[in-house]
Amino acid sequence: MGIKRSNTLIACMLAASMLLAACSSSKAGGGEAKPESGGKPAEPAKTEQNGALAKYNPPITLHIARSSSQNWKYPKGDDLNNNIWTRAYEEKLGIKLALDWTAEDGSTYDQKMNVSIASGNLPDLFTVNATQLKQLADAGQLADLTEVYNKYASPLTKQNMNSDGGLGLKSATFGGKLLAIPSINANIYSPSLLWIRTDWLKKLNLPEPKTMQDVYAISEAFTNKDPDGDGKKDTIGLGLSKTLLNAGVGELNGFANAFHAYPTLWIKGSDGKITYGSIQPQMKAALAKLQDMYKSGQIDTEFGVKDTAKLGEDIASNKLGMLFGANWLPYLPLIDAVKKNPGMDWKAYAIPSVDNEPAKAGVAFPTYAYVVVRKGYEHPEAAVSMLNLYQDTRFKTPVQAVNPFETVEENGNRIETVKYAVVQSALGNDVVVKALKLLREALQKDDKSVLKDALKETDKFDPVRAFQKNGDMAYWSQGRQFNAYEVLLDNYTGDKLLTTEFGGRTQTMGEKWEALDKLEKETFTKIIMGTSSVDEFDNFVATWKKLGGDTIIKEVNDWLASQN
Amino acid sequence: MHVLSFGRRIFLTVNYTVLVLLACSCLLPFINVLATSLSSSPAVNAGEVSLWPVDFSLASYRYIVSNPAFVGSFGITLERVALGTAVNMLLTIMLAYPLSKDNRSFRLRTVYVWVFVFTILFHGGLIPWYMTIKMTHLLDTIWALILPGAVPVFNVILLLNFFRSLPKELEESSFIDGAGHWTTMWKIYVPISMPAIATILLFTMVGHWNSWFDGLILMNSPKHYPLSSYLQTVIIQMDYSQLKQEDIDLLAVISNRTTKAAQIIVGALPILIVYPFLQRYFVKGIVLGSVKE
Repeated sequence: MGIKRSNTLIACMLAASMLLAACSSSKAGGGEAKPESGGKPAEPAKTEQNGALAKYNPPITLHIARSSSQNWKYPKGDDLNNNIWTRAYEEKLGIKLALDWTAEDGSTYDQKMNVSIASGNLPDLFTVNATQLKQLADAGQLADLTEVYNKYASPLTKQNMNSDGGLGLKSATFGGKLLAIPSINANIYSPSLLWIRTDWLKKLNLPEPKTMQDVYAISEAFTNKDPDGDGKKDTIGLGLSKTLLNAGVGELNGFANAFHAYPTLWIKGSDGKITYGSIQPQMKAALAKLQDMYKSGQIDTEFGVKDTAKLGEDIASNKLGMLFGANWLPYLPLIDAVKKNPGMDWKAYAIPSVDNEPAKAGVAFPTYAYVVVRKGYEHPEAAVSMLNLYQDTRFKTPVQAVNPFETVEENGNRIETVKYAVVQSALGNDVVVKALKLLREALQKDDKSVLKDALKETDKFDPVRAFQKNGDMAYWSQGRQFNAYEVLLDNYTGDKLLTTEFGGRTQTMGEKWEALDKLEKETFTKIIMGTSSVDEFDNFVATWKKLGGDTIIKEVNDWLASQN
Repeated sequence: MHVLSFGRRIFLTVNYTVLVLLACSCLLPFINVLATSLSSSPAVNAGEVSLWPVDFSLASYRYIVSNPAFVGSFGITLERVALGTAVNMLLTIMLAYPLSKDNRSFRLRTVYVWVFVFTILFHGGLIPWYMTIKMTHLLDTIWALILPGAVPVFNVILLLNFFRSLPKELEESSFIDGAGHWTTMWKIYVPISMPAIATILLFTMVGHWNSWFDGLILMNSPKHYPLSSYLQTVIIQMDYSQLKQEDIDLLAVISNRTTKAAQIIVGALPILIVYPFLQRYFVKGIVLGSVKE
């Protein structure tokens, strides 16, 4: 009882404590920090020079904090502290890892990291999110990695780290100093695509969607023309999840993009300043149309309580044939439905547009985490060495088909070993687009050797080929995901992919964002359900700005200005 | 059997209907989880399972029994509940007894009570709490889950008030027979306070069993998580906006609802079983008749 009570209290006080965190931690950090030895970090320790990979002799011990997951699997005898990556760090780099703590990836890790930062209890090398990075950078608790990165990063590392157009590195740079190694990924994978059940399209003799008018017609027909053929009017036109935005499955984003609206993204306004996508007039138009569709029964009246699992149930029980979602939809939730209903088939389409201007896809920031080194640590270059090792083992061409650093097979189970790496950074759009193009070319020519220069997706060739050539349903997911890849390649490269301008979290966001986010979601849900009129959107914009939105917009612009 | 008036009958009907509906609203979700845990995964994903298992399968239970993380966390929770409840109960009783005496026999009693009440009203906050535990080197040990909450003040006040409601003559008679405070507390007060102690015991056990936040913050490795912390990390809704392309293989595991359901059942069952055993103490009036005034 007592414990439970204090937890509630603790949770309430978290926000307040965080306010004090910056100043209390800067004191603690300053106290612990050892004097920097003239900017020349411990070069004598390096004896062997192995290309860009240098080995410490004698080995150093690196204290780390990292996220992990209960869902991870390990080969027999291995665990988080002893696996192929930790052994490689020790054997190839002379870096012994000491794991100070770990926690479940996601909010649990973030929460524990917040406590760790606030109490001044920092490991040597650790992973943080954008908010924590800014907090630590402002408090001056991070080592400057500019010099060691320029000096030790291998050409391959530099190529891949810049393959996102330099966005990630820029977001980790404060006042001209590189304070973190961004973990970049490719947001070409992120667009919300239009997934349609193609066997219903054929059955009802409908054309593939080219414009939004086609989409409305399909939605209408799926609702009223009994596509499942059971004689009952029990189908819906467009699937929406209760999460609405960035839900992955049944999200609003793709629909909004068709109206040139970019909800939850920071976009450049007509005046060149950054502004928030959800409060633009285009969003109002998208919501107005959704309200119409809801009124005519094309959207589930219960969408406000449907999560991914429930949408999956609707799909499997032949109630739903169209929704917006990510390229991985075939894995979740479509494959379960396809297995259950022979003859069911789905395909991804590009987002049509409401007018003559083609729709762009709005996507999130392509950096998901930052690896930082505590100020005063003697070997900041260890972070770069570990990054080099990661890039070298994973992305040196020709990429190995079977790489024990990526996955191993054990008793027929596939175990992903790549997750154990401490310093990670995947590939940016440039490299991934190239790999996807090579994959397509290889499949067209039916020649696997085309893939020798691809850094990624090489493992997709065999499954997709089996699906395309032999119609092997065991590889339905891979086959249909490849179709989605093609849509991405054909429609969302270059400036058709609209990346959010800002991936961090400002101070006012820390205090107000939850409330604003809730307001946004509630207003959108109410408008779609018709309990609020469409004009309620204007009130929402005014309230949003008044409750801190204006301050946040200003902070975001200031932040971005400070990084230029 | 006397005849019930019309109004009374209406009241009883409405009363029982409301109570039954209330009970159902608590029970049905639990039955649904139980049915889910005993069904096959495809049936669950197709939404066919409501209150009865479809394609009966014990696969998810077999999975969790062979899952070392689950079994390990289960053991830690048992250890925590056993140790934590013992420490809590001992300190609660030993604190409530002196504080239940009146001001004449224990002069600073009121001051002490206020010192304890103060800790209910004010809390140092998350960071000081964390740092205290860190600097006393309790971090990442089982004691971090037990010692910081060793004195549940709310329970102390409950028991204190129960002790005060006992007739003073009981204490006097035991003193006359030559007993000291120690004997009076253990031999007289504790046995006749079983209803109150059973209630507090239940609070404490359930509190320890369910508490997850301290486990997440104070343990440095998931290996040391108690069961509730473990379940919290496994069952919490996946944030798909954070999904990386590399994570797709995890989707199959994460979306496995039967396994989640089985873990919830196994996690809830032991504490459910405790209730009937404590129920027999929830009988009032044990003190009645011990004193004639």
